[in-house]
Amino acid sequence: MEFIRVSFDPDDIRDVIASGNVIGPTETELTLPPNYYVISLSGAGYTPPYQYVLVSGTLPGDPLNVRFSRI
Amino acid sequence: MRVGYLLLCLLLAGGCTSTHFENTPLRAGEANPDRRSIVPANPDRPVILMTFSGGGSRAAALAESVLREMAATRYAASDGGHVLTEDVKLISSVSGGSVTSAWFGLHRDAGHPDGDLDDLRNDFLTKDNMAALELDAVNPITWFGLVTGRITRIEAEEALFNQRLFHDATLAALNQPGRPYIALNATDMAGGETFAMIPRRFDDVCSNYDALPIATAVSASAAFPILLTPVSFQNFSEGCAGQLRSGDWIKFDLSNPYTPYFNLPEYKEARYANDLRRGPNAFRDIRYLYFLDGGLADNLGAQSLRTAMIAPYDDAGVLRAINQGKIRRLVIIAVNARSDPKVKLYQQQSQPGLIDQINTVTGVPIDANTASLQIAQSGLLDELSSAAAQAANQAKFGEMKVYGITVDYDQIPGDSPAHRQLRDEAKNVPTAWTLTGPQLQVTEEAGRFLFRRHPCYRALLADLQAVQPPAAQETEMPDIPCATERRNAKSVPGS
Repeated sequence: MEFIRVSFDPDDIRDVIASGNVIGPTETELTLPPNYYVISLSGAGYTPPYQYVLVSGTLPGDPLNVRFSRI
Repeated sequence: MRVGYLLLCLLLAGGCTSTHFENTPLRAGEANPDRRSIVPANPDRPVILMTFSGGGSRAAALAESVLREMAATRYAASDGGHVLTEDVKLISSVSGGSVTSAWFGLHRDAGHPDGDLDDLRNDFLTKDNMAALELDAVNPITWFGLVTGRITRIEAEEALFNQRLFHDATLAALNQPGRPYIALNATDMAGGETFAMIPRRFDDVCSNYDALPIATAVSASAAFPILLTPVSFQNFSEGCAGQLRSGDWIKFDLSNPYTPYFNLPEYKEARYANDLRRGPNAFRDIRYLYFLDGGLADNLGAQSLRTAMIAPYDDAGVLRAINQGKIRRLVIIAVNARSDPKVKLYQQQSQPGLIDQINTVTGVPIDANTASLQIAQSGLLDELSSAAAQAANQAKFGEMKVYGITVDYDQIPGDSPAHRQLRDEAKNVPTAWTLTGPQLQVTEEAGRFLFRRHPCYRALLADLQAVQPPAAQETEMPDIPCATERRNAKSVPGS
């Protein structure tokens, strides 16, 4: 298993969507199988609209960090 | 002469008759919603995911004995008192195990937390089901039906399951809020893929999940090759008018050059789903599907459990619930009824004959594949428990404890004459739809014995402060830690 942490706004927790599927919330470490994913968030008002990331070689406690910003 | 020809057709070509396709298409606007959820009503309560292996009535009885122990085990949570069978959220099963999983999925509800296991025992496990099938098979009317194609050998099994167990209920009865996910696994005999009878998979062939009789789905999972004819499905994907789940993940994985290298199992799954959906650049042109016993591809039911646990696209949503911190105690129970009868080959000086070789060719690859899947499943549980311990408070799943429980005859120790007798008798029970009284008794005794003494089950009972009734002649439990729990450095609040 691999690990990713998606940051956006700690006061506005969103669903993290990996290649079309909700895998968990923002602002916390998430586990998922290794793969190349297109990451987006639920709702609107964030940028970039999606990010392509390769999730591999991560460790629990040392996840891949992905950041989205408010528009 | 003519009768001989017809019988030859029956044996060699499945009857030389027209095929009866058992599934129905999704009509315009129809969908296959999944109405179940694995999220516990209360985070204090465990989430229990199970696999039941194949092995005819031996497997059905072993699974029943484990469920019976769970139904007798009581604990208190903040929302009241419960028994462990209330917390079973998913069962992935094969062949004989599918009889028990489908029964439990149909009958476990608030009023019957044990799933009416006494009725399963009385209506099926204690019956001479083989005699019922053979009586049908020697009945001239049945033979006429078989030869003329009015019925097939698999339909005789379906009729037996329907009459004794499922009484015309369809999969819609399993697919209701509050019921456990039941994945009845068959083998797609052309491609060798596991075909799980779940709503998502029915989307892939544009077929109505809710409409299929449970007896048919169980028969597909338990269509022992050669003895039984396959269960036949038609692929209705061409021009499908139903409302299907999004196939975005399929398109993404198939166009993604990384997936074949970083997650080959998911790539293969995407390719199979695309083939079934008759999507672009299909690898196989799948118009019809013929299902044999799920044990041919995976005799544990481990593949569907793994997909349910970690695939982001699976309806069960276990991965999502783990990431949301909704599961604090994840319990995986694998019930493996693999028999291991004494063989004479070790004492035989002459070269083995054709029958011995056929037995080896049909049995050894399945056992070897099963062993590989067991190793993969143990590895996944180790990864999850280790991740929970290491991520600690940086992840919501940092509070999760993992209990990996296996019920396997090989765990019966040979340390006393009584244990050796139990082991040898349990391993000698044949694969059939009938158990003698002593065979049923020894199978249930072995299930109780193995389940109650498993270190991870003992750890779960201790953590839940659960109470189980004493068992007769139970010897002292081994002082062995739970292999999947010991890496969890952090204790669960309230435990």
